Amino acid sequence: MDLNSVVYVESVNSNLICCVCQTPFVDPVVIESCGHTFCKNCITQALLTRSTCPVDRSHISSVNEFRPAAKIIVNMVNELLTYCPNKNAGCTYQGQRQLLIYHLKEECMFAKLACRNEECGEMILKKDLSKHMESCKARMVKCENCEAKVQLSTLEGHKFTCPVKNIECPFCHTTRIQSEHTLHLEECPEKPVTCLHVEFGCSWEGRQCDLSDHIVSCSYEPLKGFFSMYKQRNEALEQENQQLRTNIQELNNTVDLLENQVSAMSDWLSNFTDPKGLSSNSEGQHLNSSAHDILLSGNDHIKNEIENLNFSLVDIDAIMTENMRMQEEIQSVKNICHGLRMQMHYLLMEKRGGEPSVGTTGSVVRTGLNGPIGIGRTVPPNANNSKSGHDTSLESNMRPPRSLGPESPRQEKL
Amino acid sequence: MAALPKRIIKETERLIADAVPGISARPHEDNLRYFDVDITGPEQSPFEGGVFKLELFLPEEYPMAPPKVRFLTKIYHPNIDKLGRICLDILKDKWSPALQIRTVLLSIQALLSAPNPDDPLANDVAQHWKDNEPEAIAKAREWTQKYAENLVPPQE
Repeated sequence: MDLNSVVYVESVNSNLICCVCQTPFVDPVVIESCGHTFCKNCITQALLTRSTCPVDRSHISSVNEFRPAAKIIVNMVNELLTYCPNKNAGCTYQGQRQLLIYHLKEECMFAKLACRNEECGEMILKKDLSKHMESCKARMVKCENCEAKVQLSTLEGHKFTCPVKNIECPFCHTTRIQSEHTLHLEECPEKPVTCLHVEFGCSWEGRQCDLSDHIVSCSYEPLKGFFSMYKQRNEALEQENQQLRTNIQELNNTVDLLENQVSAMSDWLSNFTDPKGLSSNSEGQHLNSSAHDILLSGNDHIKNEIENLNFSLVDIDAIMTENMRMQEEIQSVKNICHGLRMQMHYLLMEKRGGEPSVGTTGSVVRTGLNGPIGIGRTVPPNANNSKSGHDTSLESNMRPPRSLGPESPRQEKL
Repeated sequence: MAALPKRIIKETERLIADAVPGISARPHEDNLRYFDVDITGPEQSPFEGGVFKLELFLPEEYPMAPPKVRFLTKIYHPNIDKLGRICLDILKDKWSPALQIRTVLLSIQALLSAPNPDDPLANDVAQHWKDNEPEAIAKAREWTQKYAENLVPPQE
């Protein structure tokens, strides 16, 4: 630094002022011949134009040069109090002139330093340098997209040529890097949105930035509590409904299964007649309970039928008994008729003059002589049921008497 | 133009703050090496009562080279010619970097008090001074009244 330009705190003794530069001596030297003192730099300069002492114009030979000034002079000027050259920038330092170089180099925060980024070239106060390095236009920054190190001043340009594609917002048409795009899509004020109450029927649509204004005036806003309550209820009912549908479906499946089983069972049962159905009923106990119920009901039905059949059997028994009795009566009537025929035959034979051919039968006829009066009932069961009608002509002659009994048609059949 | 040396700044400040009696020097605003100078004619000299305008220019080599000074006001003086050039050794070969604007102007003021016809610049004036000094002084006083008295004296 140029010590000739420093500013001194106090006025300096004129004996310490160089007559050439008019400031306190810097590196003072004395001319041997005349004893005048100058700054070394000043006298060197002066002697270039004129080889005389600037004060007394005495000749200075090239051999008769100058020597360093006395130590006391050097100390006096070195200890002069000076302000820091950066006083105007804000440095408040005051100190001995000889310490000034150290202060400027090491201490002064108002010293100007070149920015460490070569492209920047700015001179920065030392106190501001670290802050400057963070914001220096020429500093290297990392591209958020492609991770490449780019000088900040060229970053904007780089963003357009960045290999990682910039994405344009479809709503506001600004571009940004991938990592910010997703978030921006949510927040973009130009994004078209519907009213928050669209599900309840509000038809408003507009930009996201206008939504809050709309909500204030939305007529659905005051009712949103009511709506949401009913929405919850509706959802609960739908859920329950779904549950019930599932249950019904399960039950239908069960019914189908059972129907199949029952039809199979009924097919199987149809192979059996009723009596066997009874036994099959007992065999079918291994079937499940519902099938068992159906079988039981079938069993009941069969029982009823069996009972009906039993009644019918009783009736048939009664009829058979009646029939038997009728046969007996018919037999007895036949016997009577036979007796009568024999008697008739005998009588006819007698009438022609012939002897009766069958004497043994006469006694029977006699006993049976009274028979027609008793209408056969009194006829003995062992009466001979000999073949009737072997003389049809006789029989047709005898018909009027037969018509007397109610069983005369039967008699013919027999 | 190179930055003004510290010495010129200090000299200018001192010329204004601590002015020499009878001398004023003000730098031009657009060129701090160029000064407008007014020198009052010294008492008991033929130039008494006059105010003489000069121009002073500090060359690039200053203080290793002398300043260039010239009278703008016409003056009848054996060491000052019609163009205002001054015959003064310190402005030539006797220049020393230890001299200043202030000392130069003081020397010029002294020259007005003591014309030196033995080292003339204006030969006819010097001859006049040698031949008939009272007449030359009268003419100098006349020129002073004619050319220098209308000027406002410099502030002291």
